[in-house]
Amino acid sequence: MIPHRTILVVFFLAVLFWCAGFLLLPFITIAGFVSSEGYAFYGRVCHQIDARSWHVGTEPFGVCIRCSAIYLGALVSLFVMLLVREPDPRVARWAFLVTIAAVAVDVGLDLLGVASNTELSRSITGGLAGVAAPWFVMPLFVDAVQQLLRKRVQSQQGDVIHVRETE
Amino acid sequence: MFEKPSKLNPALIAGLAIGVVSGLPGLNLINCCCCAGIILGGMLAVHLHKQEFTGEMPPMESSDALVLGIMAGIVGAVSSVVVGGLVTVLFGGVEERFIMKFLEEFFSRMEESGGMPPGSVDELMEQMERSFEESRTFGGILRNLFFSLIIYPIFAMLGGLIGYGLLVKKKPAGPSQQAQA
Repeated sequence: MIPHRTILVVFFLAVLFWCAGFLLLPFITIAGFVSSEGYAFYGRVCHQIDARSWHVGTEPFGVCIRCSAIYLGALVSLFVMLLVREPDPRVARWAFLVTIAAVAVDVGLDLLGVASNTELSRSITGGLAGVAAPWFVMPLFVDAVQQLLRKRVQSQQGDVIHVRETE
Repeated sequence: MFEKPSKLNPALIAGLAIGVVSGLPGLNLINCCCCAGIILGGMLAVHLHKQEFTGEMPPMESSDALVLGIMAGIVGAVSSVVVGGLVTVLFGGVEERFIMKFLEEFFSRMEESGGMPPGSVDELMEQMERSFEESRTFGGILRNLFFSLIIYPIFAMLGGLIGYGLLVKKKPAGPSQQAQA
């Protein structure tokens, strides 16, 4: 069975790849290469409003400030998870719910016209949600992957026994 | 011991819900918030699957939620392209003008309240028009499908796991499971 840490490392690398994708887009544009497909790809998950995005020079990242903060927060959290023990699942669950609620309040107040959110509020709420999410989701993901692998091994062993019996 | 219920029905229903949310113009803006519509679809799949379990069946596991999320995401990716195509065929320019007008008013209000810098609304509307034009071409539809088939299963899988974490009560591990661990 694949150990817990290996699954974490693979997931961390996947998130690193995802983050590198949207962070490199402005550099690719500045270097003169075609980046429209990259922006179109990340456009499936983000509004990409220019005024709500961080820029390199005049070129925006592939996703908005809030999304960038969420993904980068998750990346940092996954890195920390590789180094330290996981917290109590109840704490992780509550931290996740509270930070998601903070994002919802920040978005909701802006949409309702009660209070406009700012670059700082989007960065902080997004970043905190990104940091909290892996502590809640990753134990479930690791558990799920290990269950699937265990079932696969069991079914393979079952097949071997079945073949031996029929022989 | 009874077998676990099939995942097909909840995955299809949740996938179709993802397709409707993501394929209908205007409603699909919910996905601009980190694919919230797709994540909620994954959670819906887990909720529906959970309803089918009875006391005699083995408990729902996180691997069920993971697989369900991926299945719902794949169905959602395909159905969103179909729903989007149907809306374009049925309503064509009418629906497009309605959405553009709605968005223009919405973003202008944000610009007035200081939520967006002056001039950004025009730029945004140009972007929207371009994306509407692109989505009508065969190449645009194929590209949409390709991107959706990558992104939707990932986010729906995360939604499935979040749904499992929030909605499913874990039963304490039995002696055989403890021995395995």
